[in-house]
Amino acid sequence: MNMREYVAVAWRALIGNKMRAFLTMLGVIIGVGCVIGLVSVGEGTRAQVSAQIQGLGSDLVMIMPAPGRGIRLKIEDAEDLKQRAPELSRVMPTSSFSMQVKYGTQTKDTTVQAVTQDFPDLRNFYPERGKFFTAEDVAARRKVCLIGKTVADELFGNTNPVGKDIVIMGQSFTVLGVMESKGTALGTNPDDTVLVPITTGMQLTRSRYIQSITAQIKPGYDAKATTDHITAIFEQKFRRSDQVRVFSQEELLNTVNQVTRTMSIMLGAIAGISLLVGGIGIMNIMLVSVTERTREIGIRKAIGARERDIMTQFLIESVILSAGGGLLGILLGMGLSQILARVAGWPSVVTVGSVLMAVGFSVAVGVFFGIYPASKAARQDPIAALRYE
Amino acid sequence: MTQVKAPEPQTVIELIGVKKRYQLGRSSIEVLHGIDLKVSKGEFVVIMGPSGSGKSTLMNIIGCLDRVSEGTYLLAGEDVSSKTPVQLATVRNRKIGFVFQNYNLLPRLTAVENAELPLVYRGIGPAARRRKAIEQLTKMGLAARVHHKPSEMSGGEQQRVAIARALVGDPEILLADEPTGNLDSKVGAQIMSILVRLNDAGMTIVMVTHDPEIALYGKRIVRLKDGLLVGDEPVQHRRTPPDEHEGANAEGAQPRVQAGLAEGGEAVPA
Ligand SMILES: Nc1ncnc2c1ncn2[C@@H]1O[C@H](COP(=O)(O)OP(=O)(O)O)[C@@H](O)[C@H]1O
Ligand SMILES: [Mg+2]
Repeated sequence: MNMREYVAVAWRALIGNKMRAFLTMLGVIIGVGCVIGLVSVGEGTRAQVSAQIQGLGSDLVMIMPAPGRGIRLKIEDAEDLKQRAPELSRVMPTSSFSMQVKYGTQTKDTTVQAVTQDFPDLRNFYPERGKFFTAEDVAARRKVCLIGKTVADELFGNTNPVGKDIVIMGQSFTVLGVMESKGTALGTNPDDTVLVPITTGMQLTRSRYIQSITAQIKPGYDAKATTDHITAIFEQKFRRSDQVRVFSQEELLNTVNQVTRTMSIMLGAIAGISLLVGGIGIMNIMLVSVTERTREIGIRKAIGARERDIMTQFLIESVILSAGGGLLGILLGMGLSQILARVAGWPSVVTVGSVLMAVGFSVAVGVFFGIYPASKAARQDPIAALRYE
Repeated sequence: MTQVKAPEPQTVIELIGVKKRYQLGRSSIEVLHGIDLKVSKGEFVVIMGPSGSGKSTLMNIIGCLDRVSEGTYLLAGEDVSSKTPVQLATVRNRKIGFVFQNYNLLPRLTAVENAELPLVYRGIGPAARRRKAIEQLTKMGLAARVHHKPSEMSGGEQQRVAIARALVGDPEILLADEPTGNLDSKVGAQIMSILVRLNDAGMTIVMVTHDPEIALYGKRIVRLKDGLLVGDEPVQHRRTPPDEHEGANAEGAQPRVQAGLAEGGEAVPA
């Protein structure tokens, strides 16, 4: 008897009891569906977050005061850092505020970021129309700004904003340009922003301090060594350790990757457990089926079936159950990830890897949980089986 | 060249001092107490005996479904007790055709699928085995029932499917354990007419029955009592099976064993 015939025999046995076969598969369907669905969400999130971080530039370093230490940063700290850390190509003091901006009668609540002329190159984020402000604008505390796409659309509609004045905290700012669109991601909208010179921003908020420093590592320098160096510089400056937090985009990327990978593994493990439960369901039904078909086994043995034949027949039945459940589960999981992507806005990527894994696991479950019932069937004594009523 | 020696009839089954014990918990009960039996090619042996005397146990041993506890069983000269389970499966598949009282057909399979089953385990391709199975079913007068399931057939028809299954692999012996036990006398006679004609065509048959009327279709009666052979004599006034018309009247479908064997079977001295 070849494989095709074994499959045909097993298929008929299962078709003879469709409802039972389906219910038995359900455990595997749900298990595999969860594996595919959840892993795809985990993978999608990871891909999106890392793309976002990489979009910001993976060679960036952020420095901000450690919370609760009373330390504050000034523009001079940024200039000083640039002198002392030759591995940094650009150093930019930054602050950001939630504010309302106005144009005519239109208002918009947005994030005002106070930055320097280095912003476009640092953040990989350039004006689409007009020009970014210059070092001179920053030094002269000019009331100029660039607006993000969302702000431009909401305040100006179809009007060209370049050269127009908008009002921020009662002061008038000239719009120098509109930033290119970065698109929303993970609930934040980088286009919903207004960029002003850091000096102007500090004057506007009557603050002597900045919130953070963003710096760029020169190519060829190690991110970890650089952050260590920066930490040492600030330790010396404030004569105490742990006054500032320094982290590089690369480390952040690694952390995010690690976290999302752990998340994927955990989701996969939970799904794997339900797959295991599905396998136990298969074993249970196969044991029932072996008992019910004691007579059939006896007849087959009496006319010359070997233990191997009986074993294969039942094993293939359980593999059909689990692999069939696996395939249906993959469809369910793909549907699930589509729904999550559409309804909840979660990014999801069904990877070939997770599909292969699901198929492999479900076949393995079928074999693993099928072996015991199948060998029980194969070992049955033909006479006892024939006597069985 | 002075004398012509009659050819020694070939021994197919030889039991020497066969005992069978069943283990029941700690104790064991002996069901067969030492059976010596020799069956030659072309014989039609009927085993009779009261219920519980060990007839089925003996048949199961002859059919290689069970092993002897003690003694020797030679099938066509080969010692069966030394065979592995896989070898025994092959023997059951190739050398033995078994017919049971309760037919033992697989309920989900059609007549032809049941009949071809031994060939499935012999690794014969679907087309060839289907052809052979249909051929056997046709000889049993079941050409019109080929695609029926057992539940759609009468007892006599089911038993004929079972006989077709037993014969499909060209076995050396046909074993029948109370083949007419579940059938009324008319249908039973029809089954017997099939067996008699098979035997006429050369098939060695061992059959169990407790019906003395049925036993008279055989050539030799062996009596079993409490696990011992208590009698072994040829049948003096052998019954002749009902002719085809009687069978046709009884079941509607017409067994054509005679015709089938005359065409396809080997010639046998009368
Ligand atoms: N598997 C078994 N275990 C224990 N006792 C058995 C078993 N099979 C048969 N017997 C006993 O062996 C005896 C003979 O049984 P059996 O061969 O079926 O008799 P028969 O076919 O002549 O009616 C009976 O007493 C029966 O109870
Ligand atoms: Mg019996």
